[in-house]
Amino acid sequence: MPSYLPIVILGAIALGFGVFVLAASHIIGRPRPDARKLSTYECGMPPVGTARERFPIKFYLVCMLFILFDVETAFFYPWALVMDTLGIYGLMAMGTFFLVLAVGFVYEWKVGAMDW
Amino acid sequence: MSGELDLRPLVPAIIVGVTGLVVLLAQAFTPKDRRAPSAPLSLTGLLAALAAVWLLASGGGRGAVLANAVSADAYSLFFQALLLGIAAVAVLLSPSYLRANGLDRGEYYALLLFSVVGMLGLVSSLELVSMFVALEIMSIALYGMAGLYRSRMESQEAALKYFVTGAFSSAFFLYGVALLYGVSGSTSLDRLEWAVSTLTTDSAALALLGAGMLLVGFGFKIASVPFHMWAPDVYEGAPTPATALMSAGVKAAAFGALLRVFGSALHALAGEWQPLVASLAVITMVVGNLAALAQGNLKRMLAFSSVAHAGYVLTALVASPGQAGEAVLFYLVVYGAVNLGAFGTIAALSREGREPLSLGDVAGMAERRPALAAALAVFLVSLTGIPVTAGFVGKFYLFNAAVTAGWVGLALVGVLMSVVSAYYYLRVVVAMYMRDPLGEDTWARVSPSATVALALSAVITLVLGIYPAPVLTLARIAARSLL
Amino acid sequence: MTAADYVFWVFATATVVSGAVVVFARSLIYSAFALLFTFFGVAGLYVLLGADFLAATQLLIYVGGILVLLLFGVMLTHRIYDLKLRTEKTQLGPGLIVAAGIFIIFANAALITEWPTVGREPAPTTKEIGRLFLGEYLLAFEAASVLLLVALIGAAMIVRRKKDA
Repeated sequence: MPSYLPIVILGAIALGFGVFVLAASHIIGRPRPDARKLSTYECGMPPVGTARERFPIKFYLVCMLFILFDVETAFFYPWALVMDTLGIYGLMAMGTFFLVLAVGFVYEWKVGAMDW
Repeated sequence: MSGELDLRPLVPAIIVGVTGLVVLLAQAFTPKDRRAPSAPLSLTGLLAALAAVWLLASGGGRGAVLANAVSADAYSLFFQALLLGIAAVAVLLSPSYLRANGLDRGEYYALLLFSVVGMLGLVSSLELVSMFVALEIMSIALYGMAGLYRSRMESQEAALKYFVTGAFSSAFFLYGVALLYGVSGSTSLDRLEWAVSTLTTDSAALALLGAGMLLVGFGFKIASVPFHMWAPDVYEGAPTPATALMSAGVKAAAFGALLRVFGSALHALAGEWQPLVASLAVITMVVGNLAALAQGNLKRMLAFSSVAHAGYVLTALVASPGQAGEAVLFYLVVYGAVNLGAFGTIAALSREGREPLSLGDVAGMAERRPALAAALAVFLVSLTGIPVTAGFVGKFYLFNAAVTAGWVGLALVGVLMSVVSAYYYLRVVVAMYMRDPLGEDTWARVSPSATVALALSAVITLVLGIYPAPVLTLARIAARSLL
Repeated sequence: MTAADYVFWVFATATVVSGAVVVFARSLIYSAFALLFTFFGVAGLYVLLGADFLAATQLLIYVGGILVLLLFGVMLTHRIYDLKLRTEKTQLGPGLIVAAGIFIIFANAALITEWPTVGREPAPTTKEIGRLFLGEYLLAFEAASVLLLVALIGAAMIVRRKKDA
């Protein structure tokens, strides 16, 4: 079985860093609250009001496009590991794969699916 | 890398796929105030692919190539020609319908072409992973087409229901593939056939479960009872030319793959799965026909009729692969032509977002539109299976296959249910010919391209009823390459 | 039991329990968050099976993409966030019987089958997957791009504004 130790170490470091930063700011920092600091955010949506807003459907489109290109990326990893042994054949195989999706990308761009 | 990289069997699918890309780009680069030439492009692509199939066929049947994932044997070529023909007729039906309903966008044609790519892959895959990917391409494109009519609630409902049940069925299919991989250690149908024929009793359980899961997956796609729930809603809600493609094309493609997997790769287990298929056939025929009786909406009636017809086709699967193949292949040709015609007639009359859906809408049509009424009558009579129609010849071969294999009761149920079906099919014919028209004729004039499509369907239906021999011979040759 | 066995039971329990929460939670938001643990549990099972690439992909796609989309859907959709789900329980008896029956059949089949094995330690799989993608499964690999493209068109079509229709 491949060693998962590096991943465990990475996870531990990420977790440790988060805990460390929070704890450090809690210990070192001196809270000086004022009205502006206590408001939720200075930018973005108003923090109070009805939660039953209607959101533009574009959010979902962006998310779906992200997933699709995410999946595309996942296909690249195995290819990247063997491309040096496959030469021009591997490049053509991936080129075809990529081209089809590139057409999709051009289409999305042109019909304005990515305009906000 | 993979030995021989011969792309020739894929040429038809590649042509259709590239056409899809071209249609998509044409739509993207056409200014907003102009119309992209999507329908002519799509038709050209489909006909070019059809020519490629013909060239492949005249070059002699080719066995498996591309690392044994896909074949251009007579069986694939028969189905590819059928599917491309179905798609071409669906394209001919589309422009007038889309314009009448304000849906005329290139995406529709692109999705149609990609769904055809999936269908072509489905019938020529020799390997279960490719088959699954092809199945998904077909299905996802069709989910999109079902939901095209966004301003109609029914269309959104259709897309959602089709998607949810379709995803569910894909999971079954994939689980079946995984279990069969567990049995054979390979996803190739050849290896699977070998593994299944040398099974130990302990592994047989797993193979049967895998086969059962695959059957459920296919059952959804061919809309056999109890996996048919989506069919009426989807057929009703989808744009009518898309419904025509679904009922004719998806069914043909799914049966093509089903027969290849069960008739050839899993044939060693036939003793186990045949009773299962037979019982599916019986409940499908009974439920489909009885439910169709109760429908007032023509599209829903035709949807249940398509469920019932899946049952008729299933009856033949209990026969030997060769005989079943011949009967099923011929029937799918007939069924494709007839269903395209029936849905096509509804689509061709569509105007300003409305289409004739009730008996009242078609009442007295023989007086006003004699040619169209005659065509629809031909399709409906053929669906019933009355002698001298293509439907009769088709059903004869299906039921004959079942009887030869010793399943007389199964064939009897089929005949009995065909008699029941006469009521709801002929009711429409009676309304067209015997009743007086209600109100003004507000339906659209049939466009030239739709006229060609309907005439083609009607001629094929008539010719196959009177002189079925050539297509039967082709079906026999195609089925033989399965063995 | 070896250490791997303990880890297996941890992941298996996490998967099943969080899966049950997904199904039975009364609020969609709880279901969506419970799904996070299901995805993690399944990824862990993949790791134990030696399918490292699959595990990473599971996290990348399901947790990084699909779960985010789901949460978007749950939190941003009009009046669905705190919707109480009342699933009909009229079919509880038959449903339980069918589920139990299917479980017994599958478990039994899994136990009596002589599974073909390769008889070697699992090795890193990513390279092997790459070789298979470009070799035996080239067709499925290329077809996957068409599949993604179709999904792309479908997604864009669903959310298209009415005025472009």
